[in-house]
Amino acid sequence: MHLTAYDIIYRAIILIGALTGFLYWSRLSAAFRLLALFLLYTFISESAALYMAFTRNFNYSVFKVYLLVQIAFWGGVYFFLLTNKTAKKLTLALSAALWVISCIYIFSLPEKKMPIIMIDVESVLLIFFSISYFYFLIRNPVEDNILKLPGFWLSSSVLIYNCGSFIYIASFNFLANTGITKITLNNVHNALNIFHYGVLLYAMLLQVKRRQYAKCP
Amino acid sequence: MQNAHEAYDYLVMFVSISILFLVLGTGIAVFVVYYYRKRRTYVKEKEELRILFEKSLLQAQLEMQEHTLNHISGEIHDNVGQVLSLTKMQLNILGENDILSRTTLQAAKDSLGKAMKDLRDLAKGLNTDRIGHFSLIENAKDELDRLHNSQFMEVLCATTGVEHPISEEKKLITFRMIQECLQNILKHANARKIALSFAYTDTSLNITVQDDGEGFDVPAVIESSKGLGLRNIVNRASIVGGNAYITSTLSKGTTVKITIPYA
Repeated sequence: MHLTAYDIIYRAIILIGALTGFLYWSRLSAAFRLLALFLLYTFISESAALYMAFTRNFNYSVFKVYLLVQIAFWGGVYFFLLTNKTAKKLTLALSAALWVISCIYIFSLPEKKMPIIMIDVESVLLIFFSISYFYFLIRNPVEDNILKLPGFWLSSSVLIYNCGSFIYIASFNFLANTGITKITLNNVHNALNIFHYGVLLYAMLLQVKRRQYAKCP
Repeated sequence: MQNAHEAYDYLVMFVSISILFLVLGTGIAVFVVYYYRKRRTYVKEKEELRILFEKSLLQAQLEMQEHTLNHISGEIHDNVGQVLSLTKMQLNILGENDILSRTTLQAAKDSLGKAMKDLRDLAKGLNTDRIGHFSLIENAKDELDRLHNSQFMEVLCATTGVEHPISEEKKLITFRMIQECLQNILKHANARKIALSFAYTDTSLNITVQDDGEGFDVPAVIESSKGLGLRNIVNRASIVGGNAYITSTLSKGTTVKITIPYA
């Protein structure tokens, strides 16, 4: 095993996103402050996973904890992003339910097994959250230029990444056994990762620029 | 053979992934286009509402001015004119008798003093900024006092909660609605008592105008041509984001409840 360009670029983008958030903390809304914290945690987890992969050849435990934290963070981000009261309650309820089920599932799982099913369910949940956000944007079109709305880019990234991730994980075993190499599939997933965190970084920068002259909540 | 198989697998994967991202990308592009269309409709509707609001505000201001001028012309004819006529009569009988003259002169002076005071009060009413200088409750109390003094009706005004300021436009439109209610009572109700209450809650101002008059068939009157004033009250309430409910029982009186949100 060796460090690749992808490993460095991927983690660098996440770190830059987190640092941007902390540098301009006062300009961020509640949703983006949570996102900054989540990016920092993602960087730490990914770095720990890489280290464990090099030293112990095994890093599933990192991803098991990461899954639980990810559910909580994204639930929080969409709780603050959505403005409709019913949608907020639903987001909170679904995230809490998935978190509890994931906890039970992960603790009952053998050590050397990845919680593939829960990752897929989480992807579906995040797809639902992002589509809800788009739905409420249409219902209440107050924003003048939607392409400058940080939430739009955040949700677009979440939607595209989780659609790809869902299909990748759901079909991984099947595709690997039919001959499509794991390496190519992994490369596609890696590109998706860079796209996802790259667009999240862009959303973070838009948020910082947007609230340059605005008071913070 | 293996290379051909692998190449085929790569092609399938490439096409599948391309289709996936094409579908997602198209979906997001369609969303953006649809959003901008909805946004245009939203801006247009907002502009129409704004124009309607300004039109209502202008109409309320004109009605206020008309009402004020009508009231002043009535007061000049009924009060000031009568007092000045009396003063002229008193001055005409001066000089007939020394003792009588001093008493009559004093009475004439008193009458002139009253006429001057009445004119000064009327001049205040001509000031169109009067509504802006005083609170809604003070303006409403003024209106009630005028009714009490001229029509000898029993009037009650009550306030509950902490007074919350409202915008000048809302104040004018709300005062106009109260005036409309009081005018309706005067013209049609044949009432002896009017009760006006202001209840300030955390989110809105609730106004109740109640009388003990003849009452009327609310749905029938609102639908007819005579119900323009009532329809104006309901429309104006909705323009400022509130609502108005009118209930009435024959021989027992009428209640108008108006809710005006602060925001």
